[in-house]
Amino acid sequence: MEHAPELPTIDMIDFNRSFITWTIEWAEPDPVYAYAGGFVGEPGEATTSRLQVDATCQIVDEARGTACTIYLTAPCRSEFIIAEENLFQVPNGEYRAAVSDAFTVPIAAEPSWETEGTRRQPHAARFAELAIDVRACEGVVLASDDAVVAASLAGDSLNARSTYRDAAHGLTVTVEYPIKLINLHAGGGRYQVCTGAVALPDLTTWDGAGVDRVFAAHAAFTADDHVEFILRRGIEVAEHELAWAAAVRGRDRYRRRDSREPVDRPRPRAAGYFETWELPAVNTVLRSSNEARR
Amino acid sequence: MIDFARSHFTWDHLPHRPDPEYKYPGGFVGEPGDAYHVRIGYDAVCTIGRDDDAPPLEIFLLQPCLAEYTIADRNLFQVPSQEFRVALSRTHGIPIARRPSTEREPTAATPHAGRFAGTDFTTHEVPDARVTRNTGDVMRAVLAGRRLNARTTHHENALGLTVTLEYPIRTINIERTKGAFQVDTGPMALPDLATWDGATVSRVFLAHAAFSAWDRAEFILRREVEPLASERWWWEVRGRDRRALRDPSQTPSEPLLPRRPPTLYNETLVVTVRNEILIAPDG
Repeated sequence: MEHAPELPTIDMIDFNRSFITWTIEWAEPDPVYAYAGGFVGEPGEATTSRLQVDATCQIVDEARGTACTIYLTAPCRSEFIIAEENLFQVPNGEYRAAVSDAFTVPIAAEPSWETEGTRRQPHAARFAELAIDVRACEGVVLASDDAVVAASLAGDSLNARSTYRDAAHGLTVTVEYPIKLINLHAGGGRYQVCTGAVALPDLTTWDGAGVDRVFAAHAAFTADDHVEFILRRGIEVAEHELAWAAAVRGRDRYRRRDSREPVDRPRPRAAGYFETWELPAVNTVLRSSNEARR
Repeated sequence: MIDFARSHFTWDHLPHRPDPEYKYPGGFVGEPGDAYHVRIGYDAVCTIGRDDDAPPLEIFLLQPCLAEYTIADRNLFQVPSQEFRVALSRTHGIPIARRPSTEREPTAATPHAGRFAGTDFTTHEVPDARVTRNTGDVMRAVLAGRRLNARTTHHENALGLTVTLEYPIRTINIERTKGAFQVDTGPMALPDLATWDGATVSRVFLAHAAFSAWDRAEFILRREVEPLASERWWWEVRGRDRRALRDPSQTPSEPLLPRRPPTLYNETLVVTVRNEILIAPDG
């Protein structure tokens, strides 16, 4: 199959080479917890963490003329840093961050119709430094379904951009994410992207400069004018599972410095994808020739 | 050094034949005779080498998506949702564990032959990558924005097997004054060597790895967990029903597809290994 006509080249994000890097200075011991933030070093140490970017999300406020970009990092498991042994926290949770230039944005644990009262936090409250290093490579917009199928079968690296508008708030959201999985019907010239994770802003929390909650989601589309997202939320664990699921092994992340204080350890929760959004959108598939990185 | 961003597996489906019982087998909503290709990126690669120099077994863990209806115009996601993720060798699909390693499961590797019309593994390497076991090298590479992979090797003396995991380091911590680092990343497929039959395993564990030394790694394994009864909204159907029968009045020949529960990571394994970090030359 030949490549269909393509549009001129544009920048596409090279997610594999894009990182968020922050430094935390552990100047003073936490007044309450022995292992606050999972840190097990000595006061005065500074840890630097580098997390790959999984997806980006840009919010444009047409009326105000403002914009905000949020970067969703790759997840890891909750850990004790930097330790010689007992590296994982048990009970264990996912650790994933969503950050903008100036803020860390909480990731939802509930569906969109439930408010959580979360607020974005300025980086300065937690990080001594935070750098966003997003690399681009030369991309080409694939102008037809046949072109998407051909580029997929040719092994090209693919990104998707999905742009949708929230008329009620006068906002336009563009998410960009790597296509990790794609279904192809070569004979019929059709495809279906089904991939993630992406971060979707909770636009009900938009205040002109940023949002106070994002949803971790997966995206799917088969046409250039419609996108579906499925959103993650927490799921409570059955009582009879708590004997192992809530049992501490090794260090206790929630151990208090004052052993007389009661431990307020959160109940472990699983997560699942349930709520779906089906939206008019403009979907664009970008291909990289896997060369011409910069 | 595997270039994970450019490495993927593609399978070619056999032309679709309607299932005698289910309306949407495998989530398929196309027409009879349609033949799909599915291209999925690698998350990690595991190689099981044998002391007797027999060819190694490679196990590829593919990136996940959420269960879908393919190829549809609307209602693309299956609800209830579950993760779709595959671990496979070049010849077999290998089930991913639902239970901890202390519990056996009636799993078996399934040959690709008869299931797929074709399979293709495209593995790209990063040119001119270098290997290090030097903490200073790692710290400089992190700060320079270099791509990193980890290679973790464990020798299982009792079975005469060497398990080598290669996976991208998506998250890493460093401490500059002490000169320390800690990798915490995943996922990867850990083979259940208790199921080794001389040629393959019949179960892998989905795991994350952490290490802060060159001779030791910790793994944390995923398992299913029962949700609280009040959380059964999780299994509510919206849109098409993946379990819909062609003839609802007929009882299917086998029990209905089970609703999959959510998962947690809990069991930990501490393993004596040889860790290496691979550094890409590009910044």
